[in-house]
Amino acid sequence: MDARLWCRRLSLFHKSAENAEEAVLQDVEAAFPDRAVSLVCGPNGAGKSTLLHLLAGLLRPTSGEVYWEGQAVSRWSAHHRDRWRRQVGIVFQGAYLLEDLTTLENVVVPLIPRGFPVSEIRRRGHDALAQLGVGRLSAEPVWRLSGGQRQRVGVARALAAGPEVFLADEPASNQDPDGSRRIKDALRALADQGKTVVVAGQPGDRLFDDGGPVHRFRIARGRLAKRP
Amino acid sequence: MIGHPLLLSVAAVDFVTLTALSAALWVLFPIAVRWAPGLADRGQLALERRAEAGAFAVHIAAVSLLASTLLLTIAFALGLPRVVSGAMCGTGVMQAMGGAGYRAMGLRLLALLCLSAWQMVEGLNHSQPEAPLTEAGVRVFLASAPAVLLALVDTVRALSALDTGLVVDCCAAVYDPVVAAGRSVFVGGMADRLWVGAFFVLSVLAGAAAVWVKRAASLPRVSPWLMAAAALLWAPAAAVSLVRVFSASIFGVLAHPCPWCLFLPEHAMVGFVQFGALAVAAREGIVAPVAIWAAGRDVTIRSAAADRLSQAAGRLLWSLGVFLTLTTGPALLWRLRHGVWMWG
Repeated sequence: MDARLWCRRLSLFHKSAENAEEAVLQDVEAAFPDRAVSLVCGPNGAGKSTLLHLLAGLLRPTSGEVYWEGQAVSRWSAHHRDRWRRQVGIVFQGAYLLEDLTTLENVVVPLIPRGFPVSEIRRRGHDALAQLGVGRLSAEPVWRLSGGQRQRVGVARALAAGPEVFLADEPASNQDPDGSRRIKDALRALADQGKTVVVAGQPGDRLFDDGGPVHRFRIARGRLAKRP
Repeated sequence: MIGHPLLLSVAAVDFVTLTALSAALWVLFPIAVRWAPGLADRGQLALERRAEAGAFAVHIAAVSLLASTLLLTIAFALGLPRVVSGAMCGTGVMQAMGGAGYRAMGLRLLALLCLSAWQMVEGLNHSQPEAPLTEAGVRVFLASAPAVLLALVDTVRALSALDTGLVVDCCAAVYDPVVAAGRSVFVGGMADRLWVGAFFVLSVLAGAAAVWVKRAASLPRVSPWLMAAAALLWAPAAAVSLVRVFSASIFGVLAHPCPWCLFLPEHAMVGFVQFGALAVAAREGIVAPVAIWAAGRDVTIRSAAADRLSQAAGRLLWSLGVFLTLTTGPALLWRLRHGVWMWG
């Protein structure tokens, strides 16, 4: 099993309102293989989102490390962590779109600082929207979109930059069957290209039940276990 | 201390420096004691976060110390001569402080050089994602901190010693040593010829070493040391040559070896650029030992050290060029206009 992304004894503690220390994640050991989707399932509050944020370099662990291609990226200094973050595409639970912009503009905003030519930026934006089945909405202001459409735009935004690592937090939670299928196909296509794909879902998530390599993990009370 | 706006500004900015320095000391000191990069436990990761926060605080301290030193120079050269009776430039202000002013400025320059060394180590450290020089950088900062504290304390002492009621005689302060020493060490005398000779020889040496370093493909062995030695010796030789010999062409009078008059608007405040170029040359002069030491500590730093060394060579060439143009230019112009050197 080839895994470029893995973590070792990864823990995150928070201070509660009573100033007591609470473990959000504790001693997580996991390898997320290439060419397969890694599905992390667990109930609300189990630590799924926190795990994705730690993998993406958006949070720093209290202890432990996240490795990418043999390098402890979670310990990189701030300046270099941005370099790691640029390799990661992340879909949050909320779409976090910019309400005053159109769908296409929302998708291409993260591409602007990367120095692509304008034509390339537009092409990538249109391709990503088409792949998720919302290409016809590219000129629509996002405030007109439904919850499911907004979620797909969020996925398209993360896909457009061509990330090496794709992290998605319950990406199909508001989708109809067609939307779910499109998101699943997009993630499968990424995995087939050799990218690392990690998806967080609820217990009993059936998004990837139709065949294809899936590595399943169960997370509960901040502890991660691999499921057969 | 008098309530001059420039001095109040210096005090305010120095307070920022002191606050940032204290915060950096508090945050960074545990790193010198407990740094263990092989571990990824809670203590080590907390130290890594401290290292980034502390480095930010030291940067603030360095920038604010530089800003307050510049403000203090402006106060000495342009602001306070109007307040001190009999003072026409910074020399009179220095007289009114009884020598404490020169010591304060000297300590400030020393502190700035120390913080520059830290900035160089920190820059090389952050060229690598693993920041392999973190502990070494903290030790350089801890060694620099007393110099910064001393500079701040001595500035307060110097400004407290400023007696605006004392009637000073600027020109006497400049001319008396000249008269006492006699014509032999005065402009055109042997001592000055030695200084000017050293200045030109070191200019050529520093320039040649800088070009040698800049053209090297990787981290060179000999030329950086030559560049460092030449730059660090060049700065004092250039300063003395400027004040004792070449300033005559700028002032248009002989025998007026006053560094502070160079900062006056009558002379286009050229002193700020000339002494600024000297400061840049001295700062870039210490890059070579720092870069070679850093590359020796961690092999991953080698490429970044070579780049920084090349950058230092470029900056040294620029500062040499600016200083030589502004210092020898007026003398050459005089020679072209009148057919003789100003000092005969």
